[in-house]
Amino acid sequence: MHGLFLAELRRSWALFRRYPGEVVTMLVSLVLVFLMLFWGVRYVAGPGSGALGDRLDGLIVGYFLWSVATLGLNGVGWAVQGEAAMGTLEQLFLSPFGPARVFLTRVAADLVVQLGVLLTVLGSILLITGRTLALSPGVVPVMVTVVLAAWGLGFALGGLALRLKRIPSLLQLSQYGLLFLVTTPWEDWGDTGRWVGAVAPLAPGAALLRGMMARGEPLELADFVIATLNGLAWLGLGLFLFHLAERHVRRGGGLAGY
Amino acid sequence: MTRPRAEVLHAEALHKRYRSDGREVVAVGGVSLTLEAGEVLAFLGSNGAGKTTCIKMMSGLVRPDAGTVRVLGRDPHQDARALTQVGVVLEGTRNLYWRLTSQENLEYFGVLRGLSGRQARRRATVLLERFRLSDRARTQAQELSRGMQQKLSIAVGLVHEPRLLLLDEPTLGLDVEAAEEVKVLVRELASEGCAVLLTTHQLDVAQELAHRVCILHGGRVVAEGETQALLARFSAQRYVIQLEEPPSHARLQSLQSLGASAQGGEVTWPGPAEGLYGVLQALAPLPLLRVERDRADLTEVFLKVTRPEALPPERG
Ligand SMILES: Nc1ncnc2c1ncn2[C@@H]1O[C@H](COP(=O)(O)OP(=O)(O)O)[C@@H](O)[C@H]1O
Ligand SMILES: [Mg+2]
Repeated sequence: MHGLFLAELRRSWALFRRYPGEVVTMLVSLVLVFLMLFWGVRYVAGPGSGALGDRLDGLIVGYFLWSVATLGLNGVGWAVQGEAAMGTLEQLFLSPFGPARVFLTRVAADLVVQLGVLLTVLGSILLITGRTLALSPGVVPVMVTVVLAAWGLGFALGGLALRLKRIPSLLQLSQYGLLFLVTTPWEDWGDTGRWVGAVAPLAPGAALLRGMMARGEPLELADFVIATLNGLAWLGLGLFLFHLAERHVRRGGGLAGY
Repeated sequence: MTRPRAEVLHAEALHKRYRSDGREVVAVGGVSLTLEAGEVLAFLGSNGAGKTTCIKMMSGLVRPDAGTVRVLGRDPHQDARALTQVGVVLEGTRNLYWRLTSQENLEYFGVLRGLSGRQARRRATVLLERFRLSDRARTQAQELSRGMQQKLSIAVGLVHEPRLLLLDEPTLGLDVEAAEEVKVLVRELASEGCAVLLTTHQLDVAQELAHRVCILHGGRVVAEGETQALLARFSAQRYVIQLEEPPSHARLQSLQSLGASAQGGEVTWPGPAEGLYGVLQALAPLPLLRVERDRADLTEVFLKVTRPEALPPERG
């Protein structure tokens, strides 16, 4: 498993740096995004971040949340679709690890590469401008719960991609669903709202981040446990749906694009 | 049989039907076979015969409706360890990432097949050397020639040192030279003890490479056997005798009374073998150039078993 993760990491990295033109474009646009965040231009941070308060650290956490959640949500779906188009999908089904574990390690590796790039750019800008961020370390584990739930939804979409082969518009539309899940302030809507906010995917983690960043609330253990359970449950459900889709394509032979 | 039996693949009564557009297609209707270490078996059949479906069922990729597969005693559909003993190169799909180099592909797929990172690196070096791709180690797969890509694909299929190699149309679309290289490789691998099952619709490939041939038609095995035995079984009983010069009129008549025929210097005896000596006596003491039993090649065998009605009328 550990070896597989390293191999996926190496693969992600090799693909990332293979196209220096694309890398430069991406780094430049990232620098621009962060600079604008520093100047307080809120909308560049992605639609989710405004809800995390209008201070710089809120905007930046919002931007990170938005980036890792969209990558988590779409990662498996795009990967399945890309592998099917390239004709390499069957190889992952021939691995003794099985496709679910391969894709799980792949999205984890992609996340590490993505975070590495984001943090490097952010760190350099902080160094150059001499500014600091006041972030509570609690942000990281809460972010993890959000990522787990996003991966769960991502696997459900990935399963759909296995069966339908091409779902590009659905993958794009799913971002609006994500926006809805991340920004809806369920916690303000009474008891029913609180229930929905605990069960809906990504919602409890996003709510916690809102509380911490916008209102300066401390991280309550009970809330964190709920967010963790939420993340694990959605990941489990997503993996289960993916597994059903895998069984279906192995039965119907629908792997090679029939 | 003096060969020690080391059964690598055992498939029993495999069945697979597909539903497409509301129609049911029987892709494979009861295929059984065994394959031993060091053996090359060719699956011969025209398009749609069910060859690829068989390979996919044997590799654990497609679940059979009925029947069982065992690779070294393990079911690839149940036991992931079976997959560490199977190498597969499928036709029409790839086992290479276009944007990764040869080396990166081998290392990545090595780990994907269960090797450690270090083992995968070592195997990559060994295989690049063996497949004469060392100078292309850092070339992206998309920039290799078609022949090199196919070699790299086979190398990737072998990266985890499987005991069973399944090759789907390994020489399809290759130029003569590259196809020859692939054939040499297959022979070498078999001589090292790897069991190889390859599919092809190119009869010469099967005839050259395979110890055994399995002819598939409409999802069923219509003929199966050791290549040489199969050729012999389907060969005519006919003998051809080549003379230095055409026989005289008198000899011709005595030949015809025996049932032989002649055209120029070539005398044909339609069989059986015992009658051949009568014909030779009738020819004595004319100088002979050769006496030969007519051999079928796989093309004829194939045509006979797959469409007997389409066979050209007996020659001679
Ligand atoms: N996934 C699938 N869905 C529907 N039909 C299929 C599928 N795969 C193969 N078939 C059909 O099954 C038959 C056998 O196909 P295949 O095994 O690919 O034959 P071959 O490899 O010998 O050309 C063909 O009629 C083909 O159209
Ligand atoms: Mg085929």
